[in-house]
Amino acid sequence: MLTNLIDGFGAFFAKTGVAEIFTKLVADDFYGLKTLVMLAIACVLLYLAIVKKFEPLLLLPIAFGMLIANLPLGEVMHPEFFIDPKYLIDGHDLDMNLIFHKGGLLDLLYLGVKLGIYPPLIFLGIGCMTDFGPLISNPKSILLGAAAQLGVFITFIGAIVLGVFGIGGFGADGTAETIFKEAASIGIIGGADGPTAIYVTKTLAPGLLSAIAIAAYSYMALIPIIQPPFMKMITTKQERQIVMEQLRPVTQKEKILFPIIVTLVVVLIVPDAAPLVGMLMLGNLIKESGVADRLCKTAQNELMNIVTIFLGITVGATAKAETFLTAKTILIIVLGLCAFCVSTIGGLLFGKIMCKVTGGKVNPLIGSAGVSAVPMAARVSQKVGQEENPANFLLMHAMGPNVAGVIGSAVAAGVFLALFA
Amino acid sequence: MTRYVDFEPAEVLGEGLAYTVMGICIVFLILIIIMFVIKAMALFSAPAAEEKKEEPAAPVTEEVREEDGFELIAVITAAVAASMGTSASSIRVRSYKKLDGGAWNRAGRKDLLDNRF
Repeated sequence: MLTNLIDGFGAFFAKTGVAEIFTKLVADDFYGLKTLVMLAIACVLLYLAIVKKFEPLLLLPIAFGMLIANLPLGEVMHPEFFIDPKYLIDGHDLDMNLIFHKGGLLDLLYLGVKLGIYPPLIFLGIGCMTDFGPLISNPKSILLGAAAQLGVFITFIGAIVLGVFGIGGFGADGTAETIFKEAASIGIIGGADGPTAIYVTKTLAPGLLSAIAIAAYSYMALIPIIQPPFMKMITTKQERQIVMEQLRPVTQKEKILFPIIVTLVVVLIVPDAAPLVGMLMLGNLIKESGVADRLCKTAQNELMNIVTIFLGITVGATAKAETFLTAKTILIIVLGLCAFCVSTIGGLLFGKIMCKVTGGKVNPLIGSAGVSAVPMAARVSQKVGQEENPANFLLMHAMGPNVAGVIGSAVAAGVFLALFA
Repeated sequence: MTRYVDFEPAEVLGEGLAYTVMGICIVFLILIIIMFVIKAMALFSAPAAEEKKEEPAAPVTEEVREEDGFELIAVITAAVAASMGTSASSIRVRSYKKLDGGAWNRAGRKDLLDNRF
């Protein structure tokens, strides 16, 4: 009886995650140790999300997804079903049969990322929350939204250089195509737009998804720390004190026409940007038309919240030790920071040019708001401007480049997808 | 460097550079087109009545008291601008002073004292 009991417990224990970690501590390419490291990283991210309040709405589910997917034998997520050629039909198509029958909860939810469903739905909600009024009343501020995509492309070429010289393992399968795809996914972090980064990466370099998403959302949370030093370095005290003319009021007719026109222009030229820009503009049209208030409320609240949970937890769950604990992840974090900084600098420099051209009517501080990250980047412009001149209100002026940045990074994403997908 | 089987590094760098320049140009091109379309749109649907130019009024509110009241100045500017229906950029708060005393304070003090008896 007693031996039966001991045997029973022993057999049960052998099937637990604890046993799995400790029996394979160094076996299987350090499986146990790597698992412990991943759990520790997940806990650090949870700490950053809960205590430091780093984009908690996304980082919290991402970190928990990472935690739960790395617990041994849980089988809630199999990232290999989506990236390992062994499990793909002909080496590239998803094996839906396998995912439906062998996949865990998060594998099924991850289909929303892999099939490109969640990011456009989030854009729908963002569209419902965005007021393009400041941009419509000051159309030239849209150029700042383009200039602040500089970091995307500079980082893209930077990652290619690393790949070509074999640093960090980019393009590890030995083809130039892979280098381009991974470089594009890393560069897009500079767009400072989480859903866009996820949308590009899930198509071009799904193996890097978790690292890129974590880098993008962490840096977005750090914008108030990253941007001000560059803003003060690049602009002069006089420039920062410039008070801008009040924006003209925008009619409802203009606000309704805007999303329709932007959709036509962007999608006709870069069809690959259609899902992102199309949904963003649909959301905005729902809001500005004023005839579908219920849809607007649902898209920006319930729908967006539900999608955010699914997106966060599944993106986090793709962070398994084999793909995450690599030199690549560290390089992605470094390159992501460079992308953010170069984008900020690009926006500021273009702001200075506009300041010169308009004879001092444009405060260059609004340039740094050209990185998307609505409305955080615009708030930073407002804050830095007010430090120099307490009666200066740059917020609405900065919202123009800020919302233009969303369109700009979606277009940049469309360009990458058109070139490499 | 044996990993690289199918390309010349210089070739890839050149190609990458071309994509970079092309990408920046396309992003600018599209946003410039949108800019012109917005401008064109404004011609047709701009607000009918030309808004009147605000006079650069400079209402002065009392004396200076604190040095670091930046936020307070911002709030006062915004409040004055809103109540005057003008732009915040046409107003400058030169100084402000906190008022103490006042009828309500006196009434309250009297009330408290009366309660003691």
